Amino acid sequence: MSLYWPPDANDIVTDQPRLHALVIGVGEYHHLGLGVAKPATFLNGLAPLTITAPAARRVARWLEEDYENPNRKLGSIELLLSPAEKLVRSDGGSVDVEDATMANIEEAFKRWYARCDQNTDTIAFLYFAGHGISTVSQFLLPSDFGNPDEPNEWENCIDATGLQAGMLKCAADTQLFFFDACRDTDVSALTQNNPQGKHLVSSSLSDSVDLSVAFKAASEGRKAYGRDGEETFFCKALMMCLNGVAARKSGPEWKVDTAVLASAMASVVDILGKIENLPLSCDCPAIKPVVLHVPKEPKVLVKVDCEPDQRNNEADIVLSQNGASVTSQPGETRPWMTQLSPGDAHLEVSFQSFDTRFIDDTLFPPTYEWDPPV
Amino acid sequence: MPIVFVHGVNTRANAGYRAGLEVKKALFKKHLAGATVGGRTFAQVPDPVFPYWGDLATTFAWNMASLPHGDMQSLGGGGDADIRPFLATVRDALSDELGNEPLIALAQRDFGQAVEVISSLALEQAAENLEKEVADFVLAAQAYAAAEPTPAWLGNLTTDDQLLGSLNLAITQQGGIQAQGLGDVINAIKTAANKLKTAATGLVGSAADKAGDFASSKLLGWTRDGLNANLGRFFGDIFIYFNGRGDNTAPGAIPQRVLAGYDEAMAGAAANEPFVVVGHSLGGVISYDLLSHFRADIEVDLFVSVGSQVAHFEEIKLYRNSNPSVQPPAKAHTPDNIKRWINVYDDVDIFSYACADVFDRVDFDVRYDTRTYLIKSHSEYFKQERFYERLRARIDELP
Repeated sequence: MSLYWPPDANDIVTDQPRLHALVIGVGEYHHLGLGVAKPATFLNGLAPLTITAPAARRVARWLEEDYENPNRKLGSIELLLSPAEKLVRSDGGSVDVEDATMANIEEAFKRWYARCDQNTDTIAFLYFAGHGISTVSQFLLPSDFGNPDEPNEWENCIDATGLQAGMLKCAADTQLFFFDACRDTDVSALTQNNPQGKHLVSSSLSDSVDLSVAFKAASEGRKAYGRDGEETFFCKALMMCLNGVAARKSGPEWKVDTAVLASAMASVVDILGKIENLPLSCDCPAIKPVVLHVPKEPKVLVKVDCEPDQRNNEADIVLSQNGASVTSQPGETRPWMTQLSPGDAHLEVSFQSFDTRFIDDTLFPPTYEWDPPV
Repeated sequence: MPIVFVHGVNTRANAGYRAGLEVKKALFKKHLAGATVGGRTFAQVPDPVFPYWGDLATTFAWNMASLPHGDMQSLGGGGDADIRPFLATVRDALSDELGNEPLIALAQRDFGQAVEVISSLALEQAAENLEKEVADFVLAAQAYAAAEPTPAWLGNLTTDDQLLGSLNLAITQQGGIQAQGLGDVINAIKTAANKLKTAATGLVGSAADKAGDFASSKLLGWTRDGLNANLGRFFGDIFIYFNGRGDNTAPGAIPQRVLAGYDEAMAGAAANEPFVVVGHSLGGVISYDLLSHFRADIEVDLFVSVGSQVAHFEEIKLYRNSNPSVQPPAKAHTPDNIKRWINVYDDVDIFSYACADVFDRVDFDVRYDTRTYLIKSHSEYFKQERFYERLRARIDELP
């Protein structure tokens, strides 16, 4: 089954505004990779992934345990993972999560779509993590993509661009798509006569919604990455942002809305790229603000980086705020990042061979980058 | 930096040259580290010096319009002239006719040779800004093929695309960072392989694809365009060198450039490290000329000439120190400042010559089989890791 939450499908509320989620994480591919019994005739050089199932699990867990929106409570989570696995929810119940094959995705999509289509104030939330390629559209690959027994080798493929367009027919006026996949183009795909993917839903020119936005884990033509066995970097950035880095003061409360989320994602991914020394990118378009989540507390992602390398290696960093300190010793990973609360802070860096530098400043979400002057 | 590599003919500073440099640096470091020559040992092998003289070499006023182009259409086959020798190499290696998936056909017969063909294709078709990545791929692919001569995953593949994808996966599926897609390097290599496949599609079933001696001559004719061009550049670079080399009182531009490389390498050498000069093709000829006349004061612990014409031009008495009176049964005297000499040639490399019957002291005059086709072999030695392994083995046997 693909219903992860609530435990009982009868408890799913659709006549009130809710957030209904479809979360997919594809790590194991039946026809891609070394030594598979029936290799795809093209794109078989795509490797199994150990980063995408953890990313999808993380998103599902966050929705289950941390998502907070008084006006649009959590309605349901459909979850598909590859390889299929048994998960234990926070209430202790276990779920046999199904394989993210095309057929299972299509069935889960229908259930998700039906819930989203019941109320215009509902948020439709779709997260996909796995392999992706781009030609004229962005294509997302389910676990059984490239089956050589199918006359159409694109039979098990999702057209993400078409899917987003098709969802304009859905009643849910706020639609958030998170495509955590590469957007580079493979020569093998370019030489195909008719690359194609399933939209899963169709719409017409007269269909429209208030907000439809796709947050993409890579810029056009670029790749998305993750560290072996951990969530993808895009997922990590998304979690940081949702948990407070993308918070904006709205009256007395801090809230994460879709507009700030977009700009915060770009800043956080940029910092992660510098920390990891990777060409990370994302494509999160600026859009109208719709409140998505009320975090427990706002956060500021702080990055400290020194030039030249010798200063970085010697840097002894102390960040002080409200009587407490966070430190990083010389020799630890540089650039260095941590999270502080918004407000006044004292940042100080001392060195063996150079003068100490400090700054007293006011920190605001989402990010604060300090490069102490030489 | 006690190693100097002097390149040969037809070398131009393009992406393929730069990618090739990365491969050479890595493989010289790997296989010469710790080597001992005449009691002097490389403590570690830093980057060799690569004096570049290609910008001083031949240019053609009418872009080689004087070279005849054979009637290729009657033999069928499209594709670049540069691609055809690759395909000829593959065809030569297969006992059956070619088929439309040449690389997987070769790989399932001889995986190591297929990887060498892929490596050469990748280097020669290297894209700008991907030189380092292409070199990394080539090094990793050859190391993998040496460790896994018959990988288990090869058996149920049927297409060149599957082969390249699986090979890339096999050599990159390590390390901490994963990408949710494929990369630029494999795209570049697949593009080159697609050219090969397109050429194969035209060749399949043609006269050049049939078995037997008739096919060999037709295959040669099919690749003639590339041979013409290579011969043109070969002779052109030779004439340019000999015509403008000057002498030890007024060295010409090419000797000056290469000698600066020698000086740089010697300055960077530690006190007890050997000084080694490696000359490929005309680079061997130039080095011999420099060491025997222009700078006979330089002591070279080891001279390695590869795919070179050193003995050939001594027979013609073209060096500054050549003595016309030295005739058989006598042999030309190997200069005393060349302490040891390894000469390498390939029977299939029409630009390579043996030395032992012309010079009185050549420590090793040895064949190396590049396992490639007539026109390809000359440029293949330094792209193949097993060449460096064999070189090191010979160095270890030196007196």
